[in-house]
Amino acid sequence: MTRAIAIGGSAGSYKLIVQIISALKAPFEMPLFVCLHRLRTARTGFAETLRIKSHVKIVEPADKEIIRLNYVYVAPANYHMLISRDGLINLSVEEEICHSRPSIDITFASASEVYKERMMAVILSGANDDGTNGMRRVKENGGITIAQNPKECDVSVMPLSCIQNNCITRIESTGEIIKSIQNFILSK
Amino acid sequence: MITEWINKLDLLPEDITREIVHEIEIKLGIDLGRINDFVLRRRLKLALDKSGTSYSGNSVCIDSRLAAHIVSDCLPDITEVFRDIETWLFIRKLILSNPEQADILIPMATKGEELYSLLILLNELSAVNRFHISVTYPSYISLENITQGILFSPRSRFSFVNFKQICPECDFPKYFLSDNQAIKFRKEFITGINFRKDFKSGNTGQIYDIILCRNKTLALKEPYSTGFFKAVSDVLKPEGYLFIGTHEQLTGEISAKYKPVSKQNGIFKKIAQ
Repeated sequence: MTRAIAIGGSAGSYKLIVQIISALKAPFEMPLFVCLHRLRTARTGFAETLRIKSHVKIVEPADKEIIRLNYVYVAPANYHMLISRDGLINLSVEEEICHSRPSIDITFASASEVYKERMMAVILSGANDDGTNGMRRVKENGGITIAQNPKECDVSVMPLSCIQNNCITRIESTGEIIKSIQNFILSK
Repeated sequence: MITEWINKLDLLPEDITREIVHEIEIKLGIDLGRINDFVLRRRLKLALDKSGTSYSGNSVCIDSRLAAHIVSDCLPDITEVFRDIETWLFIRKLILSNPEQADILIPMATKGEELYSLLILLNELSAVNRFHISVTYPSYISLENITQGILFSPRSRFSFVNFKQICPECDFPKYFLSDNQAIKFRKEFITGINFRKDFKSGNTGQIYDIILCRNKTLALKEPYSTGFFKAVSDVLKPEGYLFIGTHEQLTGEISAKYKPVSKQNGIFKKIAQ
């Protein structure tokens, strides 16, 4: 049965996302979904920049794109990215959630409906509480939820909100998060 | 508070969802089962919460007005004025370069933002009389909201930012007013629009020069999404322009009918037969 990893972040998370993705080696036998808040007008360049230091396929999906193993999917600017039961990525222009589109909550919650306990979700540095409700859903469905240690975040609001709302199974440093992702990939 | 309402992620149970979908199909002839499951269950829950409708067991009581509200709430639409600036810059160029009369269709509108953007642009370019706009809507609640000038995200700073990019010389209050702390599009600009329930050519015989159907298929499952593009394509004139969302795709036999003008911005021109 397929598993998945989802990562969400906002202000101060970009460098860590680059570190995580550059540590990935194919095949990792699952999709990885990245939902990062960013300028809605910056429609190109983000996935391209991530690709520079990466050994894996990184795509900004079109609507109804088939989910493939060993791909990293980056939520496009100004669209919510949802994961569907039929194995497709769906995009949405629904209202902003926590003033954010893409919304980490939407990506995490929809992925959790599909992957249930076979999912790991990671919340990184960020300046609002988007991601908290999605993390809660992942945890309720039996998935692993990790927050970046707020002490090492550039902006700690996002992981702190998840921690304070009891949505987190582990609090980890950057190095530990990379290791946990690798362990999740290696575990069956 | 609308922000608190919209932030909720709760999904309606599947059995109640099925029952509501069935009820709405009977009452309004609209099949909400075409919508992506997650989107449908979440938006149904939001719609029931917003209307204060309670449900217990597997039953929920829905009258025709609530059904119309639900349809309008469940079909997401663009919630920002002048979304995707590059697309609107192209539309501006198209309007300026077209001295003839032209027919524009905005199909399946549940919110007014796309229409208001077009009306602002036509007014600013003094082109209102050259373009005939038709808007189709899935339920009369959508029609009410659109004709009342209601902005679905009235506090969206992006509507204002986008507006200033497209109309740098124009003041926001020319087109928008503050009404009971909500910002609304001025109703006096919503004139001469042909509002209809259905756009299919078999019903009206009308075909269009430009169709703005951006992001309409995102919430739809296949094959309904492809079916929608096919129906829209049938009412577009040869050499007419089709605008779809920047991350939507034309596939199969429909894509063969179009030449991309700007694939990145979802702009296509129908090939002459």
